[in-house]
Amino acid sequence: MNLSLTPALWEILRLGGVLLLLLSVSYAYLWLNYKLWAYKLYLPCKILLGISLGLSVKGFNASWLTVAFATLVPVAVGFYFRFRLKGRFHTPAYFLTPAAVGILLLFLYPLLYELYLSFHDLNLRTFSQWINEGRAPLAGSFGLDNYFEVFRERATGQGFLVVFGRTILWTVINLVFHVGIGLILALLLNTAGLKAKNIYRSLLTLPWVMPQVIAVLVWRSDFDESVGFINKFIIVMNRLFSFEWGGTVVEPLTWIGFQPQAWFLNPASLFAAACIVNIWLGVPFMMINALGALQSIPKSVYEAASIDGARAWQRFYHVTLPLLKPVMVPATMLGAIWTFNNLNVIVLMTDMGRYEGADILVSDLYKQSFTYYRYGFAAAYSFVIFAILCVFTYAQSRLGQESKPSKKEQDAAFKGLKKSGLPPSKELGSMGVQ
Amino acid sequence: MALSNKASLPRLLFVHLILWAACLVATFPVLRVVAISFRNTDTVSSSEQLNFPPRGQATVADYLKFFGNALVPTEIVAAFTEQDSPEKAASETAAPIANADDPFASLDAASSQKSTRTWYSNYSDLFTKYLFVQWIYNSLVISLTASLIGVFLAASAAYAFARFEFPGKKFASALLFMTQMIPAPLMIIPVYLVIKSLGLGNTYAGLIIALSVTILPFSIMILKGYFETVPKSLEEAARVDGCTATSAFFRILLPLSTPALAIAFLFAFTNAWSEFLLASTLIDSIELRPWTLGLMEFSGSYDARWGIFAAGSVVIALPSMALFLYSSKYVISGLTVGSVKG
Repeated sequence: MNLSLTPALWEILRLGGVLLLLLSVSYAYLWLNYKLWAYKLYLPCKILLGISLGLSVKGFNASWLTVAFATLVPVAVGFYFRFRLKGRFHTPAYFLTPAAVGILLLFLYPLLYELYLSFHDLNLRTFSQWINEGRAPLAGSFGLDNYFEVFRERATGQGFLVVFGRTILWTVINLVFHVGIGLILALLLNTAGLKAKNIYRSLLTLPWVMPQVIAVLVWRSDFDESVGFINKFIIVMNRLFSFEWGGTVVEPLTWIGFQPQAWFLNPASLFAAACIVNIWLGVPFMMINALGALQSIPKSVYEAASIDGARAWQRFYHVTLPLLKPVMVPATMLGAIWTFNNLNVIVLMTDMGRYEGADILVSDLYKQSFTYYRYGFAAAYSFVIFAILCVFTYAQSRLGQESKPSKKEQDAAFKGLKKSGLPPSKELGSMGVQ
Repeated sequence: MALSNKASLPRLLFVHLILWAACLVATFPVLRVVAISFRNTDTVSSSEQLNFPPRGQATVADYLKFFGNALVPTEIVAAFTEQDSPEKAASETAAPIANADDPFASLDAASSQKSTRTWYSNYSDLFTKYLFVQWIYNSLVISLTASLIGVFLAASAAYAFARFEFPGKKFASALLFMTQMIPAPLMIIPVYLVIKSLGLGNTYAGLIIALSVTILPFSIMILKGYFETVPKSLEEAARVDGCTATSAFFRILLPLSTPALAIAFLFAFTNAWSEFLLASTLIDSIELRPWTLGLMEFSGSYDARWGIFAAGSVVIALPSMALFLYSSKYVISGLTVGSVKG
């Protein structure tokens, strides 16, 4: 096969050149602003610049949002320099500019554009109009129709409430199993006098380090109805654990849903399969966190507890768990957001949205935009999800503040993390996974 | 738990047993994918039918054979025990056809040659019939460049956040934190539009820029958390000696925070290396694909070529697993440190 290696390198060189140019232009712009901000004509000039920029963008047949954005950015910069910066803060401004340009162009503007799209009726029918004229018709009921549509019943039966409930279920199931299994494995790994601990730990970390796409696809191949391993395994296990009772064969494992089936066609089993895969993927993260925290607990604490007459389970409940909390609570919160937003597993398990019935909010959003091409509706949908996540996070942070560990506990946890993970700079090269 | 210096022997054995089972579950797909990649059929299992004795008649050997057949690439063993047998068979069948002066002899020979698949033919197909090397190369180029750019931008921004006060800092931090909660598909369509209108659709450069910016807020948070733990007095001492803020950043703070930089880089790299959503919208042509899209093509639900897919997965997964296993500790600890410190 013909490989073409040089075009990529040329393109990267060109990209580097363009980025350097962009950087120097933005620095020149910053410098000019610092020079000129005190003049009386500064603000009027800025507004003029903004309007001319907006008009020139309009010349390219852009939507009103783009025009407004191009107009407002210089004006906002002008106001910021005049009334907030006032010629101070040179250094942070210069350090922030590169990232700010990137975020402005590829985070803030897309976000605003998505908001714009959410009020417009953009789908396959209006797509050509949008490509040619740069605009799509406003959605019904003053543009709010997309938002109403989110909460309406859908033909597939997968309405918003169904999907939302499933997302909550998904998050809870996954987190419970992640934290539970992770904690158990960490406790087992922390057993005193255990040999080959490092080998066990490396092997148990494999799900975390395997590229997610590959892991999920391999699992999907094994959940395949006719050629996969899972169904055969279940058949064999059922033969092993079954017994005869009054002439009929009883397979107790089938009572808990352990039976060969077409995993992708039945929504419940598809969801179960996705949960199994995601639990498999997420346990190592919690395990490593818990192990790091466990190893940082000093032995003297346990000694003191046992001198005071605490039994094993009392030591676990009153010493280990509270000392694990400062590490496990943030890890669990991070895990909750990740699981809630976990698109890859569901999308890959449902073969890019081909199978119906196991979608969580984000994968449903993906399906609406890339399988059904309902861009305007998907935009509104994504803001609804965004709002849910914001509420969720706000509640979490309030909860976190209420049960915030004392300064001392925090310090202890932080030291533990340092000890378990983050090495000082000089040791980075020489330390492997231990 | 950790009180007694050594746990009792039966308990240790029990712990070993559970850990063994857990390791088996954890490594199961890895073993599976290696086994499948050496099967010379295109299906997942070596045989479509389940050859297993009925209930009550199975022995331990049967169970061992069942699991061994699923997890061990038996084809390699077979290939080395009966050496040269496929080639012999091919030459025996090909010889009489050539003698018979058949007009279709060449076609027959070609088809019979095609059907002789050996234990490595998935791999040889992967490298000769598909642009697999090109895909790996694309992914490497894209993710290395994107994470380098991303970490550089994030480090400079994190320095401003960690060390300086400026108006609107709280607002900017809140904005950065908010971006964590944006669902991934939200950004794809508008980012695609921006990249397209910049004239960078279907290029490496477009994907690189998009990936480096999407990872930016998270990297800033990690680096900011670490920069705040580096004592400020070091830089102040340098400033007293006549160092500018810029050179204090490059000469003192950056060298001191190599671990955090490595974490941010690795995280960005991991993210870009296994990314497929942005790539599938931004990249059209087959020569520019990253490996994720290439592998996903082998695993469609109607035209799955699991053998090729497994071979590709092994080629990709083993090096990346080695790298990530080596670095996972730093990545995970860095994540929690960043989040603990806000």
